[in-house]
Amino acid sequence: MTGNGQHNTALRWGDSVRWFDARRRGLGMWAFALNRITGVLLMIYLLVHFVNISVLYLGETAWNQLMDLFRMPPFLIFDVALVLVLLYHGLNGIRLVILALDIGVAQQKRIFWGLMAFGTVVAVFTAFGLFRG
Amino acid sequence: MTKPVAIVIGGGSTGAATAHDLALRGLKVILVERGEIASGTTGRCHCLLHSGGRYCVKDQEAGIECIEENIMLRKIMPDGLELNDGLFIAITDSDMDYKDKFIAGCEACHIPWEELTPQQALAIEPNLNPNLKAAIRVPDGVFEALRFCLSFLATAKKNGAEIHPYIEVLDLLSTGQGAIKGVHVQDRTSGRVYDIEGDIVISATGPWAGDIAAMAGASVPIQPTPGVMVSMNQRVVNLVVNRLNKAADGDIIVPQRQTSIIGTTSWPVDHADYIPVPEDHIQMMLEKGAELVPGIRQARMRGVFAVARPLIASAGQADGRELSRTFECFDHAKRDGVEGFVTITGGKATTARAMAEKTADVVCRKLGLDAPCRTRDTVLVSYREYYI
Amino acid sequence: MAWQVQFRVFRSSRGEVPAHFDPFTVEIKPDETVLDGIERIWAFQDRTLTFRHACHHASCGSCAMRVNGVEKLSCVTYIQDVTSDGGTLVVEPLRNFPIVSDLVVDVSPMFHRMHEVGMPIIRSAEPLGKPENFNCFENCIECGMCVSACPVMLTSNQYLGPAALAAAQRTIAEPRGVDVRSIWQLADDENSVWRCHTAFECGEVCPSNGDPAGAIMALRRRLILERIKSLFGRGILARQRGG
Repeated sequence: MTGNGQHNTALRWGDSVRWFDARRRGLGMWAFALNRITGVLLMIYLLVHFVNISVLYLGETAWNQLMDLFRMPPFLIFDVALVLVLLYHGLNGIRLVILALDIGVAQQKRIFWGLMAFGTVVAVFTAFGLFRG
Repeated sequence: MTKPVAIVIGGGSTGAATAHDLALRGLKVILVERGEIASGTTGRCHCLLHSGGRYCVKDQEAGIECIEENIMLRKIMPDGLELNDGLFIAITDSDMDYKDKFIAGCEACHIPWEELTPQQALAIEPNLNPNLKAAIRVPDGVFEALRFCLSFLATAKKNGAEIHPYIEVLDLLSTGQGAIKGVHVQDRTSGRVYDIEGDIVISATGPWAGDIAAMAGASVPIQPTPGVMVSMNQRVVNLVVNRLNKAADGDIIVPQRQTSIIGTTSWPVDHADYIPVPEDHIQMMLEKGAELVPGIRQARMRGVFAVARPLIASAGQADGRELSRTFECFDHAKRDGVEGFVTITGGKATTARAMAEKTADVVCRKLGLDAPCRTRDTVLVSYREYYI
Repeated sequence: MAWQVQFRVFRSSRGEVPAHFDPFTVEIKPDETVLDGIERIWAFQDRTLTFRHACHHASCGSCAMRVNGVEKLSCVTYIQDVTSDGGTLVVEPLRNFPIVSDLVVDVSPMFHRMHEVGMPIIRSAEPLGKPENFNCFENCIECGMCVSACPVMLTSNQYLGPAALAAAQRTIAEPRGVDVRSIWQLADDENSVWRCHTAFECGEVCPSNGDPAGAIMALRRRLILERIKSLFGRGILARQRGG
């Protein structure tokens, strides 16, 4: 579609790694890089989650043992981390949808910090809830 | 019949316009430039499309060249110029004394002029020094140096010219019988050294013309004369603003895009490769500029640059301000007994087309070609086509 | 007074693999620019160094390069803003362009795209001041820094890129005689307006305070509205489909 404008620079694997390199860059680039990192983490979590629920095949006892394990504090910390990742990815996603509709583009940094502040409050409440059990 | 081959050295405004002219006349043009296009004098020029007003009193030859070319460029480069005119403003009594001489000069050079009252001038340009005593409007304009050259080069390419940046001329090739038959060059992007042969070699190397001529054992009376320019972070005016007096340091502000360029100073140097900026010139530019437009004091400086003008020296004229801004085409067969080699230097970016015309006339005469100049009414293609 | 700064300059000759960095120690004042340093290296230390430059006042866009990893217009980047006395400056060519040699990149892919979009460089319709209408060059200096900074361009060489998209938005907003129908088509493409991932780095590095990301978002809104209109057989997209 760009006619003969494609004097293609060969794409290398290293280039996609640089998606995550936001050093010395602006807030938007950090948000972009974090969105990709949290996206990858969520996908890994989803795979692990599939493995976890397949423990149901091993019967009720096995499942309950696994659930007891997951209620121990180290795993609760993992849960809090998961909530943070989810909140970041979801809230930043909302920001991107808003911006894609050309709403508040000039305020994108404020929208980011506003949503992050909201996310922090939600995360603190969730953490309290999890640890109180 | 194979086309005669012309090798042009230098990718500034002169070389670019010369390549364009020769390509239109049906020659095979090969242009070599040691750096990026417009990385020498043209690139760092003031970007003023001269009306001729700056020269109309002391240097009427240059003044006439400027206004003729100004009118021509408006036709051939219609979408590449900021055409907002220029003002010459008087602030002191000495400026007022100069006014009549200036108007007489404009008349002599056929530069259209219009006198404005201070109120009228301030209505157009509210940022001018409110104490101005008189203002004269002339058809100055602003171009953009790199794209100015690229427009000529893009058109030359369309007509079959080859443009090679990053090719440095190491030496001129001699036939052994007092003639030049080509250039010995190095591709600076790969280090490869090779020869390019042609029917004529044209040096359009501005203040470096002496260096190239020396390779042929010839000489050019060139005096590299740098000037300092200071660019600000705001467009403080929309018209070019000049001091209505004889040319002096810091007497002009050229607006371009979102910047304003204050210029300029003048001092002679021996060699043009590296020009350090004298610190005191910067402060003087800012002070002198603020006399024209006091808002300069509130603006922030964005960049400072200096580059050598190629002034043609003649005996007894040591001061750069006294040297003419006109150009000259040297046929080294006549001057130095070297055939196949021509130098074009001096002049301004504004007069590049005329310089090219004169050079191409000399080239065609030397090669025995009967090809009239066609650049006067050939509209140039977009500079972007240089890359296509 | 003068600082000592080590420039670590990216070097590569046409075809040479792998490229490397050359160190140069430069005496330079804090209020001089990165381009001053590079030019001095060429003038006094290494004549083989190739780099692009022309106007030295942020108008031509040719001296764009990466300084310590971030795109800078080297002619207006002061030494004191990017390093300190005794510090190091890593100088590299722009990303997402073919490298010719050292700091020189081939900017023609971007100009192909700018040419397709066809933005005039003179803003003629816009009055800059009163009482007369003045004209002025567009703010975009086509330096390519946004293209280099864009993370999406790293992995998609089909993407039209921030410079051309911002120009498309300018042309649609102010056509100045350009036929904009083909530009609508160009913009409404998976490799065009819809490919942007809103990292906003294009605007961060823009030397002219441009906002390519904002322009892309504005184009998105226009296109969404046009698509809704086209559902009812109206608007510019509908007319195009109708031939």
